Amino acid sequence: MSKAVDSAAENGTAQELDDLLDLSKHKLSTIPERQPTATERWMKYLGFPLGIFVFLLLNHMPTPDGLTTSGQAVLACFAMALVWWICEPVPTYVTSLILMIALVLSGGWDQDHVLGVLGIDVIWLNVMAFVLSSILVKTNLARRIALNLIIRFGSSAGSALFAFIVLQLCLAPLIPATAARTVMTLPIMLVVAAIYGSTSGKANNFGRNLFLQNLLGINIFSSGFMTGSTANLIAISLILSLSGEKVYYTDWMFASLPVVIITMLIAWFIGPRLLIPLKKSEKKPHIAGGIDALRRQLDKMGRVSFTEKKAALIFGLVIFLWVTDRFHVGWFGFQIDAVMAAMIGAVITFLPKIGIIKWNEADIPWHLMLFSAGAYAGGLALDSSGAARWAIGNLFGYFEITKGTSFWLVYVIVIAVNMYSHMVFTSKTMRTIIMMPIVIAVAQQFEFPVLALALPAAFTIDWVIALPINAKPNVILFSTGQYSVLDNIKYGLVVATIGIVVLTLAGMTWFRFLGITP
Amino acid sequence: MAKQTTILFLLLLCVTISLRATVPHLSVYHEEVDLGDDGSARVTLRLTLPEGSDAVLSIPVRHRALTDLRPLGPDPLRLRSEERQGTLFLVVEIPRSPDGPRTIGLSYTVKDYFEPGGSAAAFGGRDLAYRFVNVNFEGIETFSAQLKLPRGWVFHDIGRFLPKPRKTGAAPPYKLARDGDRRTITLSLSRLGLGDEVALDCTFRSQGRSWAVALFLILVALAYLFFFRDILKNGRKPSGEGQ
Repeated sequence: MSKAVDSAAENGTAQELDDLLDLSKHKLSTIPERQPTATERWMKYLGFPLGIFVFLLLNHMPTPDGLTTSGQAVLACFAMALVWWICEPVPTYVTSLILMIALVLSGGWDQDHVLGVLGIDVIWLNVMAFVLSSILVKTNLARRIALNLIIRFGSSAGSALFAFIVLQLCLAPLIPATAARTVMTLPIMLVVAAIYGSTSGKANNFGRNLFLQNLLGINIFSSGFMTGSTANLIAISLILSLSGEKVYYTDWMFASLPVVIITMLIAWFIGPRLLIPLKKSEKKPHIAGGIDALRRQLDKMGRVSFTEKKAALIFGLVIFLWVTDRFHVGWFGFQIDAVMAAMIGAVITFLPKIGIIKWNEADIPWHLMLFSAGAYAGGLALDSSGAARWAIGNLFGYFEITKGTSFWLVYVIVIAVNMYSHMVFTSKTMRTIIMMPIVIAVAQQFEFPVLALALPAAFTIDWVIALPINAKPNVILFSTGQYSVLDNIKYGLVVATIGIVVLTLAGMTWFRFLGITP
Repeated sequence: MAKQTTILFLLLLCVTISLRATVPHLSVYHEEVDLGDDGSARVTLRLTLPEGSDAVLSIPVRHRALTDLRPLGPDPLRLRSEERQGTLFLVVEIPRSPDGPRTIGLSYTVKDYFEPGGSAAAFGGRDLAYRFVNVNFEGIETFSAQLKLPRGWVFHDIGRFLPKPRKTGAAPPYKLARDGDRRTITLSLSRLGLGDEVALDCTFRSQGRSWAVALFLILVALAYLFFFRDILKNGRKPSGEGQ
């Protein structure tokens, strides 16, 4: 009798575990319902009129010197959208659509440009990446990898979170495309979150920590390597062309990598303890039978199936193309960039007989594409209207830096402005192109060593962590519904501030030892 | 049509460049365009010439007529406007002077600098274009051109401009500013070569804002506060949230 009860309980647990790990029940294309907290309800209520107030204030004030009225309109529209994205009185994708309408009607940006944003490479990369991610889910390869990861490292929340830090650190120098790294690891994150009881419909603090920590890792580990993102390379080329200072791969890595590793470890330590504290029940897997049940589940999956191998092969091909992009011209005579590589993978995925999924099985969150398109439209309009350059130039002017100002005060201002400026940009490249020449000009005008200000400023480029609109990984991870915009701001701003402190301390010690700062 | 006219204009300039003897170098070329409400403009040119130079300059202008041509300063300049194959040229005869580098000045009025009626496409704004092609000098060390809007108007959008910055990230060659209560845009360039083109297309509009839109948005905000007040009452805080 007891054996029968145990067996029934075990069967029940297995069924529950199956349900939990079945990612087809937590589709990204289905927007999860989430009950707002009391603070979030107030933000929703007041956010709408606040957004309108901010819009009217910026749009109807006399046009500041140096700004066009279209730039002023873009600033007003973007500020309103920023308030609404944060407070969420309407869904984020609706805010994006309103922003696009407002940009056109206020004369901020023309309709062709606004609508054209849906066709930019980032949106295509997102769509293709979600198709590829779907094959990992469909074939259960994501579940297998996640179960292996949890069985080896995930007996407690701390070690599971640490395992993801190591994973993202290993991937960063290999795959410069942050969206690619996100999509590769997203299904694994979803399974691990589910094992710890956090799903899109019912997220808990483990899920919040896991996804926000990965958002942090994916973005800031790019800062550890000169080739970690295209924006880093643009920064280096700007430093070279505008100041004649050459920076080598190892210069960058030796200086920046320790900073990001230290910050990441601090975030790993304080995240689950102070920022988004884990309850006792969230520190262990939410599976009756614990790790043993997961081990049994993995055994039940049996050997790696043919479709799993096929999925691994397709994904492997895409990753291979991503990793080897610098050799393409030599091998093929042409360059296959990240979007085209993902598109090749997606095409193979859909091919009859060879492929793995049909169109209906691809889990593409289109609401996310509209959200991204609006965010990018706002960001690009800020750039094209000159409003971003005007705002940043004025911000530096506000600090009244002179030749007599202490180098370290200027250093902290430069690092802080660069770090926090990511909140109003939607593209790292654009931010680099606007910020770096200003930083270099500040250094040259006030006779500070250019590299001492420009290189640490360049190290902050990839710290795009405070809002879902700031970077591709943020948009993708936000689509999981595992955390709110407010969670993202809280986590991102605290870590960004820690980053400023670590970079300042590094500037006074480690960078000085390396000969970067005076 | 506008594109064809521009191409024709540039072709003509190329012919002009090849046929004309050029003045070696110009230290400074400064042009000020003072725009009036009615679409007219008073244009002032100041040129700093090297020592001992004399020249006959033919400066192409994109307008139908120049009036009130007047030299500024003591130099005895001979000024006239001349139409050649459909394009109007400002002809400036500068006599030789044995003295050192000198600055000459002249001014004239253009009645049709911009179309005074607004265009719907530009949100009631006026289109404004500035062009300069260096067909006279082997090089210009410092070039600047300032467009000053009528009182109460402000630049709405800066469209095309030439030359584009050579370096990625470099600031555009124009700067928006204010001269008293009037808005200005100044194009500043250095080392213009023979045949180099400077261009700026922009729109400007009245500083006034639509208060009807503001009122509508305020009403929408108030309506939201009234009709959506149940947001504060709805929903319970689920366990595990908000920590």
